[in-house]
Amino acid sequence: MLFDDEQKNKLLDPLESMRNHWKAGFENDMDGGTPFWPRYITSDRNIAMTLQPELLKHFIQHSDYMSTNDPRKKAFATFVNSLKTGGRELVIMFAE
Amino acid sequence: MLLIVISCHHNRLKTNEKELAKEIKNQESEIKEAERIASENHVSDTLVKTHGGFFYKEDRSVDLKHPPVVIDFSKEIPVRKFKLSNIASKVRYLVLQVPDDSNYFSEVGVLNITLNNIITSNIFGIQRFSRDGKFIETICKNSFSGKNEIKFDNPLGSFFPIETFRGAIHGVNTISNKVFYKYSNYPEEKASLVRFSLKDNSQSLTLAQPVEAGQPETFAKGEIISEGTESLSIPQPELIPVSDYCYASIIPKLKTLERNSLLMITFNLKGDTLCKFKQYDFLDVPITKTLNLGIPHLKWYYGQSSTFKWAFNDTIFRLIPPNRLVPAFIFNFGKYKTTDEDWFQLNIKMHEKLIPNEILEDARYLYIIYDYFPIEKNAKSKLEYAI
Repeated sequence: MLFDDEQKNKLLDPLESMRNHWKAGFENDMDGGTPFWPRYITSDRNIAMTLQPELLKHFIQHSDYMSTNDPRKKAFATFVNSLKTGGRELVIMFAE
Repeated sequence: MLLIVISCHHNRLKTNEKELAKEIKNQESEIKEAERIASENHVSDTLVKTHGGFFYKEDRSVDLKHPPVVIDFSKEIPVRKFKLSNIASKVRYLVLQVPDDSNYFSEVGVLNITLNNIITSNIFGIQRFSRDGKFIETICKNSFSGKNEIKFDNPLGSFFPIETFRGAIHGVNTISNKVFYKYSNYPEEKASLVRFSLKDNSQSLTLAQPVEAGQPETFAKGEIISEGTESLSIPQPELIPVSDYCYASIIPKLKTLERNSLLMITFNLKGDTLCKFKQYDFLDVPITKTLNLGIPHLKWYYGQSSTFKWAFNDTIFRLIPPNRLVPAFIFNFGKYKTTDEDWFQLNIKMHEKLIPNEILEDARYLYIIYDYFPIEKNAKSKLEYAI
């Protein structure tokens, strides 16, 4: 099966690059969070990806998260808003 | 007696000093040229010793009980929207943080996730966390001059001079509760392979660079298993730990696409070469491109098995060290196949070609990202995602 997406690598714009990456991942129908594309395999054979807080905060500002009534998306936005930026934290998302 | 006579014949006394000096100069030039050619042909890795003893012969035979799976890209590939629930039943998040308000994660770097630990590595060093996200310790602290922060909105403005770098930046991998990494000391042109046990909590600092007070500016924890030189001028092979006792060294140079070149070497932890794997995909015509295109070799771990897809070769191999490459998958690209000639020759268009640039594998799927080059004039390549 194939995901076809008109994305371009923009080296100088990591936000744009990441947005395109998100468009290409699996649509997240489980917790209202970002789309997912595996970057790591754990030794117990689960898949995971990393997310930087800056990108997550950008993601919720540029989508319907600010006006949503979806409780899952509200919870996700609360989680994202609690994260520290500036390289102080890193989020790992596991899909099990 | 005969030997002496012959020797005298070839070394008869020179009476003309100028002629003698000229000959010595010529001999020196010849020696230098021979050394240059030898160094080009030699694997540029001082961590690997090419002893004259016993080598294993490479073996690429098929495992008859598990023949390779053929994946067909040559026909039209169905396109559909996938959802996360199609591949997972649960989503979980973990937040990692290095103490003292560190900005360590301004570069994401690479993760190794073992049963009990998460090992993160980037230009600042190697950190160890528990699987529930609790910080445990710094395994390796890197140092370099310049900014110690990557600006998120301007990563290119965060580059630092590599010649000042001391620490681990490549080859950080975990094998059966051990972290293997390469510690590079560019100012002193030294390199060390280090093994750190995740079970032993009493490992001392090594390779520390002392400062007048406080913590050393750089250190490495673990046992040094091999030492050699580090160089900026010679491309270094990629070193991959493949078992408790064995490393693989991937030859980086374009010369690997020439006849009689090597693809990979395996060596033990003493640095002794175990097996040399030959390159069977080579360019028919010398390269015309001056643009420095990378060679898109891919590698990943499936469980503890190191798995390789070499550029322009459609077979995916699992390495059973020291000398077996077992075919696991065969990609049939049909007309979409990118050959080395397509990739490197300027006069060949890449129309309708595709080339994988990232593969990950779990028990059920291969997750593949590849570049596709459309046939339309001036159309740019696009990334496509497939499982």
